[in-house]
Amino acid sequence: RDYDHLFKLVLIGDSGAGKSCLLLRFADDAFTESYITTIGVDFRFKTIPVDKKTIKLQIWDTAGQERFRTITSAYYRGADGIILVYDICDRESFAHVDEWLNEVNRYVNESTCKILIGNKCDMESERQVSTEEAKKKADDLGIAYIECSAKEATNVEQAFQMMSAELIEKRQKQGAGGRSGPSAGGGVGLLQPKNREAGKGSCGGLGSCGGGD
Amino acid sequence: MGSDLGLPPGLAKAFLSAASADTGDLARAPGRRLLAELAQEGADGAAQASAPAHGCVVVESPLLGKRVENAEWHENHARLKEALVMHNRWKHNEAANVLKEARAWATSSISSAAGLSFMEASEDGCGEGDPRRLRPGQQMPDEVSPQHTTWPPHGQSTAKDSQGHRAAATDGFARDDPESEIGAGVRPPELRPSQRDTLVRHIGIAAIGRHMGDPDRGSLSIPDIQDKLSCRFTSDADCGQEGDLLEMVEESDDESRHACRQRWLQLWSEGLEMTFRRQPERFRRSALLGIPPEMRWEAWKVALGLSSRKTHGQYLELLSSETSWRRLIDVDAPRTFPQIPRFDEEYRDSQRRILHAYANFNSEVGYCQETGGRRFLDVRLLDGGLGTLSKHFASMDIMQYVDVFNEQLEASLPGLVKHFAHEGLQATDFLHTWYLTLFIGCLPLAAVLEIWDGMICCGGLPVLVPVAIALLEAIQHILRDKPFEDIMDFLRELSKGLEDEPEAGRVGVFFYAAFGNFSVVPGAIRFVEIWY
Repeated sequence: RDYDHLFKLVLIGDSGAGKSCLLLRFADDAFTESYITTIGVDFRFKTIPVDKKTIKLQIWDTAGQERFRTITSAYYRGADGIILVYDICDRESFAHVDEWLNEVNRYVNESTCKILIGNKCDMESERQVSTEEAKKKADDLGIAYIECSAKEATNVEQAFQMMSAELIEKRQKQGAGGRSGPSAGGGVGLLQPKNREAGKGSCGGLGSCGGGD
Repeated sequence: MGSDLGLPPGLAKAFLSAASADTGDLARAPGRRLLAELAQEGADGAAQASAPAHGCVVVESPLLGKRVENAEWHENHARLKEALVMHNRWKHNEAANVLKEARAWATSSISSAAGLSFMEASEDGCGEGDPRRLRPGQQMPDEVSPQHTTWPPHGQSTAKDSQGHRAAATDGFARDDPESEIGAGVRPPELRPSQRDTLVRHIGIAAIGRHMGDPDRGSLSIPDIQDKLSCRFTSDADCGQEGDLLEMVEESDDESRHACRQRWLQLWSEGLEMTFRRQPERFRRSALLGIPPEMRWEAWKVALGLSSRKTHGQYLELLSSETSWRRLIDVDAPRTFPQIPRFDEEYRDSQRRILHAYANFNSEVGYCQETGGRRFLDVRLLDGGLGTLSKHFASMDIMQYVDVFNEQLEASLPGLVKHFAHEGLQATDFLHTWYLTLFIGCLPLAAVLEIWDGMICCGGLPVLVPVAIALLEAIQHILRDKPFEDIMDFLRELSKGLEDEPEAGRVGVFFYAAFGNFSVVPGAIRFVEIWY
């Protein structure tokens, strides 16, 4: 195995918020102004070093349109981290943050790490949501907040680093003396209730992702 | 059977409040909309059988894991369960129908005598003698329309729904009698590519232009596919007709393209519409070989029954009313085929108009990004032939196909299924996208167009099942060695894996050739889950 930890992340947020672009920037260090609409789900992975550990991230990129919820919600389950993206130039996408959280909270448990990302921070002149307001919102929700620009590669790597660091910390706390985490490889517990249960919370995971502890 | 399946009023209300607290504006979706009705009916103490299926699904999560001590609840629960069983049985039957269609399709490819038997069968007594009823584009909305996802499952009411739906689908399109134009309107003046065909070419080239050319990725090539598929054909030597088909497909690219074009030129000179009506099997088999780009648009129109309809008036009408989808359409318009130069501002405007009109035309579906994925086609239906086809796609109840697919995959490629399981990969991880987009963006567009030729002119949506399996079969030797991440990567790169457009086009034909001989094995259909 070529990594110390494996984490499954899911990107959610309104259609057009820039989820796919963030992922493209992170995974391929590329950007395109007009990325094709995500239909259903898309998948990428990347291995990054965090605190001298090698972290493998499996990232599911979901379609933003509500119609696809039945499909995308299956991927929330068993996710280690949820990345909630909104567009700082689109107040409506920010207003939907609560809805998105409610939606995912139906499927994930408290140990799931969440992060709020305000994307497109390069477009300062068109900003509709202030950093302070977003920060306050994130504080109220008890989740981390960071502003990114997929276009200019601002903070994108950092956001994933942040999330990974938090996940490592959580896993180390949980897995002290034990092992935790979902099975290596594989999708996010879609239709795999056993895997899903085991992968969450307790230390009795199926896999052995905590090997570095 | 209506009333005894009804939910008790109290339960219905409890469901509603739980659901609405949780789902907010989700109430827009068709299934949710019924929820309100359910509460209303429940309050009246006369819940109809149409409601429970939806009611119980929507509220599933909030209620799960909570203990209920109330005796009444248990009684209600029993009734709910009964309703669920009924619903599942009904869905089960629906899935069985899909399976039947897919099988009928596969069989009819082998036996030319079967002709359009599957289409006729599915029309089942509605409007026999009327050629318009036999269009593949028309039967699907009836088969899998949202109406059919509503309760009740019993025959009478469904049939009524279906007819109401049919009326809605054809309203405004069927006013001009197609008879008057048969034979007269179809002329093969010259093969000068029209604007639309130019678009097709551009799309193909642009798609290929993105080819990454990494041999290590094990990109899909004709010999690969030939290897994989030909054994199947040689082992079934008795299928003379398929042999024919394969022979044509196997000829060198230029020759087969030439043969295919000759065939279509012949059809064209006899009149496409005429051939379609008088010799449907010949038309169908020709479509299986792929339609030459310059004739594709006309052939599609004939197959969909759009060629003789004048719908411009209705289109303008649909355009003039506002829709709540405008924002989303505007967000998406610039990100449809951004890599294709021909999709310039003019096209985007056209596309916006079409989507807008469509959202009004089929307000039940409205605008959906999956339709969006298929907008490409809509643009080609440009300001004229809006409607039928999109209707047919957007109302697709995808989950039935996924279910049948899983079963067929297990039966056809057990080794691959095993590998997927080992890697923790679910077919739905890629299948949803394949089906929702009808392969646009998943394969080179030239191949997609060939697949659509078959879908539009021959089998309708059920062919998606064998096409997807044929595709996996062709590439399974590549997939079998790959870990989860690489499989996903490989599948994503499929659209870039072909060197040139003609070759990509042949790939599409190959998939058809492959499943022409593909029999959909009947088996126990898994309990179909409720998705609404």
